[in-house]
Amino acid sequence: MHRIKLPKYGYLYSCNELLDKFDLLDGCNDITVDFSDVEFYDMSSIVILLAKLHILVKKGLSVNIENHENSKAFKYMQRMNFFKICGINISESFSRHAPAGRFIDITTIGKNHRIDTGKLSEEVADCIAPDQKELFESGQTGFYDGISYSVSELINNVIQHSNSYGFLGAQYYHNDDSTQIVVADIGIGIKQSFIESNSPHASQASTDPKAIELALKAEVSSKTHGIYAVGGAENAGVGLTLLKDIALNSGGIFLVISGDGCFKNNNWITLKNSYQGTLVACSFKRSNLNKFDELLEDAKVKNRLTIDDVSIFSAMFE
Amino acid sequence: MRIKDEIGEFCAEGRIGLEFMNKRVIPLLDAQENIIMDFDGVRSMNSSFANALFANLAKIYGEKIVNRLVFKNIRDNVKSEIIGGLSFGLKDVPK
Repeated sequence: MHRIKLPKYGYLYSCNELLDKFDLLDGCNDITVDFSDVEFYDMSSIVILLAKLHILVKKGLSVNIENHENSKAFKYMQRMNFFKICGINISESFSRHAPAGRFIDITTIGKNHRIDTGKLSEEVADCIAPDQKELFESGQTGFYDGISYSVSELINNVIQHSNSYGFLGAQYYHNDDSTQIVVADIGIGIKQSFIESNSPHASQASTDPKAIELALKAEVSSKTHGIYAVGGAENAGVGLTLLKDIALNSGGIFLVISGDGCFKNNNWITLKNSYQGTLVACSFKRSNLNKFDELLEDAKVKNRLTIDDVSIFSAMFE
Repeated sequence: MRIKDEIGEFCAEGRIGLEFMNKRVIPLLDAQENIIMDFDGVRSMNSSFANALFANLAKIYGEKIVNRLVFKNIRDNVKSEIIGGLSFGLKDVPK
């Protein structure tokens, strides 16, 4: 029996430290996760903890959770569906108010779960940016468009690459004007995706950090070649690249973890304990994401994804 | 073509963009038809969809694609994605 005492706080920026708490599990068959100290976990931390527990169960470990009903974060985590998705049904002592303007309940996506990318992305944007939902004029909806765009690219990654399922969460925090979007899957991981798809990049993706680095490079994907390109490639390998630049240029945070590799705001960290799947979490400042069109355009130019003179397309637009 | 009816309010999946290209767009272009795409009611498009549809069309037809497609009733963010897709497709096409 191995016992893990969860830390008091969990934040997007310290998610790798939360995962490192699950070190030293080799050879153990059952673990107890103790919530007694838990006071506040942000959306990213909750989703990542949820995915990690699912990974442990998938590996055959018996996972027990303890003292969760006494923890200060209990009601919040219950409201986010954390315990329900863990398979623990606990009666609720509160009324579920509409979450508009704040968060979405954690949603399971991918294999055998929701894969309707467009609809789900709009549902998230409707919740996080309800004030821009009914607006249609260009220039008034940057925050809404940025949220739906980012969520859609992250869902697509899980569907295309994980060969499994994962969890989506999103929340807007009024106190610092930031929005977090997190997707954590329990699939094959980035490195294995390059290998299983016989990618020409597979030999370069020899370690988890190298695989993440490749995935963040423009025009590199595990699925732009061979059978995946018959009839045209459905993936150009630019989703994560653009999202990284949009998040960082909006004053936010960008985090990718897969295996023992962790890329956090342009820094590399090695996890003590491998995460068997892929997680991407990002945050944006709302005030900056209102200029989403500019942020996206700048990211495309920076990554040389456009031709110099786009005026040749002018006549195509009535 | 009314894109909202064909795809929806948010063009968000490369798989759908590719299927639309192969089943609906290419047969018309190969029959020498020019196509007007009406984006009335389309709110968003992401890079996955834009690259699957427009970058692939640009790779197949080269710069001639510019004279074969017309877009109307389009939001700025969708216009930007279409230009991004076409531009991405033409980037490596020899003139």
